[in-house]
Amino acid sequence: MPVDFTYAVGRTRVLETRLLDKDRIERMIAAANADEALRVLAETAYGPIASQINADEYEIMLNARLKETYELVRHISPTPAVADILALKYDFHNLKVLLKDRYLKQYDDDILVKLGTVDIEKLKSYMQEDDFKGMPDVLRDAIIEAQAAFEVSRDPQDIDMALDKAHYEAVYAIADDMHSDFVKELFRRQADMINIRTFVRVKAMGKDSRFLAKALLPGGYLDEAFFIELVDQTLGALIERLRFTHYDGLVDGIAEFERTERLTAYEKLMDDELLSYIRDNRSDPFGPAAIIGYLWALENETRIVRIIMVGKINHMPSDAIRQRVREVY
Amino acid sequence: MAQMNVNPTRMELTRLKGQLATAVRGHDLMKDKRDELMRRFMDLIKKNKELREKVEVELTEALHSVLLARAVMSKEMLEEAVMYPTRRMDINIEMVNLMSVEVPSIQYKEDGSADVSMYPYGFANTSGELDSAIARLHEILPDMLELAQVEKTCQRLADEIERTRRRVNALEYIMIPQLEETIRYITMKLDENERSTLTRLMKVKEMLQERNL
Amino acid sequence: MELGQFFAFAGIAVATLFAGIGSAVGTSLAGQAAAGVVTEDPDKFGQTLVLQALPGTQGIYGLIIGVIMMSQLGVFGANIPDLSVQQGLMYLAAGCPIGIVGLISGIYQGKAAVASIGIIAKQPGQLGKAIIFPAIVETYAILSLIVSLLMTLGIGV
Repeated sequence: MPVDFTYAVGRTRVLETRLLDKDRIERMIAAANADEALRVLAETAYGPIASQINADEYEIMLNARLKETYELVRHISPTPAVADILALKYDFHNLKVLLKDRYLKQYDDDILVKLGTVDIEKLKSYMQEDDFKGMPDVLRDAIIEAQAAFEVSRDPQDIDMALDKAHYEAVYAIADDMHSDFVKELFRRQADMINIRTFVRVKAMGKDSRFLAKALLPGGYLDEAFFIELVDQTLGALIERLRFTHYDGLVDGIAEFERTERLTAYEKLMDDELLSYIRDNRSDPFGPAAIIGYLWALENETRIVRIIMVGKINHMPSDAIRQRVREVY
Repeated sequence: MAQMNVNPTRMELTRLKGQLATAVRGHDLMKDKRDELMRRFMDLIKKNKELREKVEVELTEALHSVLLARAVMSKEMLEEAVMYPTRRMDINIEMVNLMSVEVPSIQYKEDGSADVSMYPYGFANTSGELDSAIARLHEILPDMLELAQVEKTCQRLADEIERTRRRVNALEYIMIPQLEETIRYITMKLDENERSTLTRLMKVKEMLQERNL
Repeated sequence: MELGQFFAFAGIAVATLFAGIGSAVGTSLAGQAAAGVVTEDPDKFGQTLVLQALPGTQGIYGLIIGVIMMSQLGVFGANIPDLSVQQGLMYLAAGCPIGIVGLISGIYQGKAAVASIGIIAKQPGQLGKAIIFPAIVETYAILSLIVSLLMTLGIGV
């Protein structure tokens, strides 16, 4: 019998109501300055921290909120997998930092993120002692692979790319264990959308198909051959091909890139499309969709708050901020 | 105008006349130098202004891109992305002599193999905004270095011009008038001495004639 | 005991047992969801309780049929009348509708109630609408209750 998420879904239904709504976000955008934007958060779940910090310390607040939510979700879910599948990106982030630290012979501990599935102190000691036995298999295999890639090329980009690939493989493995079509589909779509973005970026950098193949994530619906075939064609060709896929909604973003050479619009569309896919599937009261959806929505919300705070601190006009702010759940 | 405190002797006069000649020649030379420095300085200032405007525009654009990347990525992920740079700039500053002014000359060499990408991060968790930030910053670095060089040169030249101008002024308004004054004083003094000697001699001659009579 | 009596008892068992299981599963599902909601928002206890109780009715219907059958058979009396095998099988058949439909509708009503608790979590003002969805499932439990009831009364001893 599949794992029963009924209780956790019940709780997340209430938790969802405490996410920031459109009105509040609009009030933040309309605020005269960063301090005032922060004050809008006072009566929300961010309140306890928001009232104690300065506007430029918003990262502390966002990290605390994420940490608290990950802990809560782990606590109420029958399986940690729902949180792990999203938290893995932090583990892989930490691996990237530690691996680069090792090659640079420096220690930038303050950019490690404490939200991963493996405690960062443990990760650090594994790396320092060069003993990966205690690490989860996926992380261990990933790190060995990334090391091998780097030793050949001495290119730090290879570390990131190898770990990114391993990250998605690990995500699919968890999704398979969950037996949830929604979860599998979600991450495959995300991989596709990232791959489309990677394709556009690689093309703009003028790199060849060999490099592209290295940069693409595995497991999407659009396979490597799809992109390789398009390398020598214009972005218009990509747009034409995407019109017949799920990703029809993203073509405006690519067209915008052709005009402005900025991926701002695409990245917003990408986040919005994924969120709307989750929103369409969150009604399942027994499966993991609502819980993953809630975590996803919270991460989305921290992105929104970050965009607004960065914008406000740097005196970006409200309209420019509004253009970039993501949809809410 | 103050005159110098000297003995009004003929030797002193010769010395002062020599000094005056040198001062006048020095003054002309200094004036030429000042004009030439000014000319170069004007050219450099124009170049400096152009470069500064260009760099400022581009830097604003680049920082705007960084800002956008910053807005859509968490602090940690952004820093991880750029923590391991693949390009190194070796900068070598030499001093060269420009009209007897020591000015810097910045030589730079980009280090890093061509098949290692300029972007030191993976694409899955980084924003596309970061690419344009990196590309722009990479593009303007040579301009920024040149700007640094030109700006320092301008500064040094300005100092030198100021110094030269002070010297020219000192020569023109103090040294030369002072010398001229002193020379005139000594000449007058000597003339007077001569006249008094003459008078004395005439007087002596008169007295001798009276005694002989 | 004769085979006829055995079948009649089996009928009572089917009616109460399966309908009871259906209700137990249904209320437990709804109860988990309700507990989740109440943990975050204790004010919603009353509303979620109503929804949790909805799948509980199948068990009661099963019990009603069971009790009626037992009273017809005179289980409460001193001795149980003899029944033919045919009569016994008729009791068994009469217990089936409420037993089977009760089991299935109980579970599914529970699921509908869970979904409705989701509505309450977000929109506390919509209790009326939220009750209707699981209540529709109730209809079929009632229909089978009526059929079981009529069948039981129709047997006559």
